[in-house]
Amino acid sequence: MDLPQIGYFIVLSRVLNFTHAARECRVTQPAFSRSIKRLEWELGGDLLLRERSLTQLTEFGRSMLPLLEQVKAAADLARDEARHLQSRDSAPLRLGLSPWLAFPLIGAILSEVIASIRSMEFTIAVEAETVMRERMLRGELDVFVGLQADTLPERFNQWHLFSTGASVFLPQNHRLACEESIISTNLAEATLLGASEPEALPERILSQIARRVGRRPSTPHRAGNWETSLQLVRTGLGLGLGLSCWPTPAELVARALSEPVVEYDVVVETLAGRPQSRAATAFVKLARASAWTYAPDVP
Amino acid sequence: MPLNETLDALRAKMTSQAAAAFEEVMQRLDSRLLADNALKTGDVMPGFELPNAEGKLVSSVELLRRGVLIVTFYRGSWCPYCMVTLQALDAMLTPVLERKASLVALSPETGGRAQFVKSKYGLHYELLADVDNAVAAQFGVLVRLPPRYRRLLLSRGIEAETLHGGAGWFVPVPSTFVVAPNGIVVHAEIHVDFTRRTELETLPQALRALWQNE
Repeated sequence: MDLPQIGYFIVLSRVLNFTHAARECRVTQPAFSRSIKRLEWELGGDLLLRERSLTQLTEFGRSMLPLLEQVKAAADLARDEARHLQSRDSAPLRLGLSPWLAFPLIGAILSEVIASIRSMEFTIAVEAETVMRERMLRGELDVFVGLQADTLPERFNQWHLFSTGASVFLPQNHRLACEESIISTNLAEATLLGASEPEALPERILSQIARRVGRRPSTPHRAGNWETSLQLVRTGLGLGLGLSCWPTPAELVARALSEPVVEYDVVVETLAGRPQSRAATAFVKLARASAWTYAPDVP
Repeated sequence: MPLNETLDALRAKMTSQAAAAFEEVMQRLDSRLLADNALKTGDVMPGFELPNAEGKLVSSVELLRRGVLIVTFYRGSWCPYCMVTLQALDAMLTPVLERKASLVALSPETGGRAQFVKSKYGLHYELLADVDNAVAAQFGVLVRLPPRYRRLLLSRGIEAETLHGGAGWFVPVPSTFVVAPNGIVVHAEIHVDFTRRTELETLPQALRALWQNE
């Protein structure tokens, strides 16, 4: 299939009239119809229901539309990007990072974007995930890297980067440090660190532990992000609950939470249909292409 | 052994299920239409900037600055015909490429699969992640795998969403383009029959012809 064909179908799906769509695409109607027929053949099904006065998308057409829109958007973006390969125009990247993802995780990708795009202007926001998704919708952020949400607003594009388990972070001299991994019942009497946001990662892990041990372990102290949480572990305020992909500071140890087995998906998100700068596009492409050290099952 | 003889030997080992899926691909994909859609000799290659296996961005502008560029599209790490071809390209072209030319192989696979293929087969050239098939679409070599073929891949645990980050089952048709430093395509080969590839001798020949004209 080629890009004009895909473009014709996207216009037709909007206006649902062959004559008007052909006019909008500036081709004759026979050429337009042939092109759509050819696309149907190549995709292996009827995209449209053609009735005398009514043109409608078939179920197959409805299922193919977002996929073809994605191909078209990616190609348009690449074409636009190619035009700016040698330009020095400013390329903003306004990135939102979950407070529960360690910055070093994206450090190498960011360095590569900076090295390739000298005119990049970088802004990073680290706030509660719900706040950042709202900021995306308001157009204040271009890209968000965070944990997969249970529900996502329709306008978001989301790509899975890798999955990671949960770990307990504890001082080297703690009695549980000699365990290979930790199960919920080990934590029933421990003081654990909670989070200042009810939906934040440590709270999600805590609710899983509470379900297993029948009550919530003691959590008198709460942190707002991964780094502070580890600082609180260092000062002896409790054991930290976090992701196995967090870097472990020298004086602490990380032990995988092996029961219950919990897994979190780390995703990158953009807002569909919003034009992206070259830096933002490059960041998303590099993130999606990356092997991610924490993805053990590649390929 | 010539590449296509090795590929023929692989094809001879196809299961009956795979052979039926292969026949469906041959019926469904029209080689004339594809050749119509794809870049041809004399066309200007669309520029691109894609991540390589090492997580660096590689741009066509930089590659063309170095000299002639060979762009080859492969379907993915799951395609044994592609893997044989990538290794054969490495053996044939690595000594030639040192002289002012580059080879890049593109597939829509993400999640570190380019790195996996490159290190598994010890390849010396760039493997690029054509995220969302943006470049394949511009080269006009993008197709959707037909239903029987999709079922075959699914039965082997090969799933588009995981491999590409998108559910469309879009892949490039195996194809190779030789591009002069001015960005003009000087040689194009497209293979609807994924068990056949550019016979490798044609590539050094095309390169030599370009160098003679410099």
